[in-house]
Amino acid sequence: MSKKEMPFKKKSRGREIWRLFRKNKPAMIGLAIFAVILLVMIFADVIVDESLCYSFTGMPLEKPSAEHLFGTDNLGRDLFARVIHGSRVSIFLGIAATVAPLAIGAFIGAVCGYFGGWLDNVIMRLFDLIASIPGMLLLLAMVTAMGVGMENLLWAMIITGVPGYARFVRATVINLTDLEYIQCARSYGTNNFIIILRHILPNALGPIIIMMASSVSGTILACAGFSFLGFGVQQPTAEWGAIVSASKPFMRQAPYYTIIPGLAIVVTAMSINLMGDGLRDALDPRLKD
Amino acid sequence: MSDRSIPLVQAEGLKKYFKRTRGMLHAVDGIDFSIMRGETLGVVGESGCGKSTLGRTVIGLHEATGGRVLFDGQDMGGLSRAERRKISTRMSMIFQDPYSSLNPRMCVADLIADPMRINHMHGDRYGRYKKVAELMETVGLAQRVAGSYPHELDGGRRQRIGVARALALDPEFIVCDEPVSALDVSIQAQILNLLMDLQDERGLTYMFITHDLSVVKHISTNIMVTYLGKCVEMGSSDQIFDDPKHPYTKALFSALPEPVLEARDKQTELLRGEVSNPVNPPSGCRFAGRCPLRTDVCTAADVPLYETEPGHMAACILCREDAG
Amino acid sequence: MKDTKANAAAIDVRDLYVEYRTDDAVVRAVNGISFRLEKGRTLGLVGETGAGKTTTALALMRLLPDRVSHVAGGEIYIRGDDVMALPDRTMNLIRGEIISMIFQDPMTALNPIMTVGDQIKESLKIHNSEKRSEREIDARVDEVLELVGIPAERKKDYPLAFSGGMKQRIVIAIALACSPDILIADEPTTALDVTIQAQVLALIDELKQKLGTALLMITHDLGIVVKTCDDVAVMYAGQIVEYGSVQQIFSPGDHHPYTEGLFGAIPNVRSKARRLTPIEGLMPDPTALPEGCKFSPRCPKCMEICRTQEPAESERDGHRLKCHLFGGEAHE
Repeated sequence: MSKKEMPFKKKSRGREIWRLFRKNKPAMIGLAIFAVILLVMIFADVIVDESLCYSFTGMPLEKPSAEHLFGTDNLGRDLFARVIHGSRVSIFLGIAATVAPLAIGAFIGAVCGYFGGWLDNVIMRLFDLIASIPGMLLLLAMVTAMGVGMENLLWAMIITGVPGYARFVRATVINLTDLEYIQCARSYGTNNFIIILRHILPNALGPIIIMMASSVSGTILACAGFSFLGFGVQQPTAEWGAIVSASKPFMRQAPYYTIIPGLAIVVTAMSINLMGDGLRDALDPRLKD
Repeated sequence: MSDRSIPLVQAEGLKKYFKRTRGMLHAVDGIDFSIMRGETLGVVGESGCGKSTLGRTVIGLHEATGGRVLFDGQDMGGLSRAERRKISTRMSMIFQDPYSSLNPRMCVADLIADPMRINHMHGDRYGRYKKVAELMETVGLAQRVAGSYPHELDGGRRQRIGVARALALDPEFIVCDEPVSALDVSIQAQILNLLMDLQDERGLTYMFITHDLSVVKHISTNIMVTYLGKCVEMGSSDQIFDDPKHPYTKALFSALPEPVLEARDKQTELLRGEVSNPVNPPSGCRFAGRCPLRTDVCTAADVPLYETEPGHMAACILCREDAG
Repeated sequence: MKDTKANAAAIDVRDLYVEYRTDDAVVRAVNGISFRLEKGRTLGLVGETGAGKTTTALALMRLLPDRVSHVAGGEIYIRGDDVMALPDRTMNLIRGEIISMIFQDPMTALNPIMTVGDQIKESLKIHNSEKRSEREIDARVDEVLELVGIPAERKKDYPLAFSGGMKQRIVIAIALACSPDILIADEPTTALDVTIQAQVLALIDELKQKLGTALLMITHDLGIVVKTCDDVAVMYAGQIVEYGSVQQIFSPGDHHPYTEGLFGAIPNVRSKARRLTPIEGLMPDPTALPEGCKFSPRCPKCMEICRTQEPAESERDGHRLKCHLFGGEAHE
């Protein structure tokens, strides 16, 4: 018997989660759609050349045709190219504006929830203050103060997003801290850092991932909304929200101009939501039986 | 190595209070006991009497508000961090709820190996898993469940994991906090026998916390009955079961439903009221409010433990005369 | 034989089967049980987790979750009415008025944002067949609260203001508000301390005498059975393995090995022996029940036939046993 041979095999949790996820039809449909969107995003350059986004290759507001699959916008740019390449900015913005505040919020929330005390009090009151200002108003104010643009929109989304995530993770962690297995780990000398890392975060991860999945779609919608209002991504950058925004005056003459990028936003958001639901069911071992 | 003539675990005037909005909760309020090596102290009481807090304070999960705990003659309070850590590997705890006391994200082998991993014992993963295999054998868990997760197993098997984990560091002293109360009768007997066998084989010392008098009978050398943070009666197992002195202990026996036909016609002496909340408790006997034999003396001042016969003590003024 | 309404048993269960369906398995929770509970009597359903006790109770009340479970066979009669054939509306009226249930955990059985008086009143209003006036209903609320030993003026309090034992009294008050003929108590004292348990059991006993209610007592505790029941059904893996009067079950004599095992496993305050005698092994997996006798894998007296053939029931003086040891017409 070799020294490296373990006395027993562990079951893979990942495989178990995948097995449950696969059984969930809507989630698999969501995954399939999202996979297609990701492929489009990755191979955008293969599908259509990026320069077409910015060159005026047709007449303004041409109807969809063989030459311009989705037609052209009011400046005569190819809408197909703009929507395909717009996926990059939209999805990147959606994911970045979710993951960044979530990571920061989760860290702050876990520390506050686990240790409690005066630090927790001070931070939570500060967050209460931020949360008491309507989110939209705060975002608009910050973007206006810092200047419109994608980068500033991202910063504003982080600052307004952190309190919500932190509070969510804090509540999850507080619930977990009372459980006996945390007490037990403490009883054999596990230090706080390892308790958070090995016992609390893995168990809080389920709710966090679900929260993330359900926020990504919301954030994509919000970013699109800000671009639509003119506070986010600026022309001529191709981004779904910005395209919808630019189409505003031409909705009657050229409905496809609004509908196609709008549809892209909706389908992406929906596919992520479906996956999130499936992940929630697959991740919670207690709901399984 | 260690002196066999001194108690392995000893508590002196141990207190643990919790701050509540309405005042101080006296969960443990001046408890003394000592447990000799290889013996079991049964701690009996109803919910809210502080028995769980007592166990956790003894093992160091809670910082004592007052009094001290001596382990193998050493005052736990006076130790440096490193010394304390070292001494705490010589004790462990089995928890009540086999559902919430196991991390659902860890498989059986990792759950049992975790104390060794944390305390850097038994070398690498391979060494630890070898020890885990031994422990699983000891507690009667089949090797094939090593890779399973807790939610895939039944209550009895989960509690065996808890026992194996408590044994992982080869402790001398184990606090068993209601280890069988969440289990079915037939499984309960399996776990109790396992605990007793382990004690015989390894010379373990137990503090066995339970609300069930009949469970404690089989396993205990000495028994302590607690009520609202205080010890109301203490004695050897036989003394408590053959001749209970305190009205509360008597009431516990009377309320115990025995599965024999004679119990059908026996009149149960009912206690009035329920256990109150030990927030800022008044002086005097804590049980006075429910006691059928209460007199004015009971509430006037705290009642100390009177020794009615060698080793048998009860905190009731009715025992004062017996004590002489 | 059809019972006439007048002499019908309070509960009559005949060859009942209940199944739960999960994604990839069928859980056979109840596998062909039959019992009768006569008016004014108390029957104890005893068994461990997974024996099918609670499932049986839910089937009686027709409260099984439709989505995952169904009655796969057999009949249930409540006072002669076929429960499965009744329309939903009638069943709603029967629940509460004729049969009602006390649940295990008083902490979750009460609505925390309603005063206890209102919760009792709610049940009275639903079942107001006697067309009581508001005043009369209020009077009845006071009456049932006093009945369970709670001062009537506390009806304006919320559940939060009561301790565990008091909450269970309120749960009992709600169950009894409409003076049902049959009461099902599902582990009514498991969540309570022993001294409180004694109080609640004494209360149930007193009310039973006073009101003549038939009681189905579901418990895992043989000590509670001997104190409160007239007859006992011992359940294992969804079957009744032994049935008899309390005297028959608790006296020495012929018993099912599982019943013997249960008695042996209970820690006994009178015994001087240190070790207990557990039943070896575990409850069988209800999705893959063993062939033959369901208890055979754990049975110390298991024979060859037990593994292959399901034992028939034998009966003598109302004492029923489902075991090959006592096969034939009557057991000796």
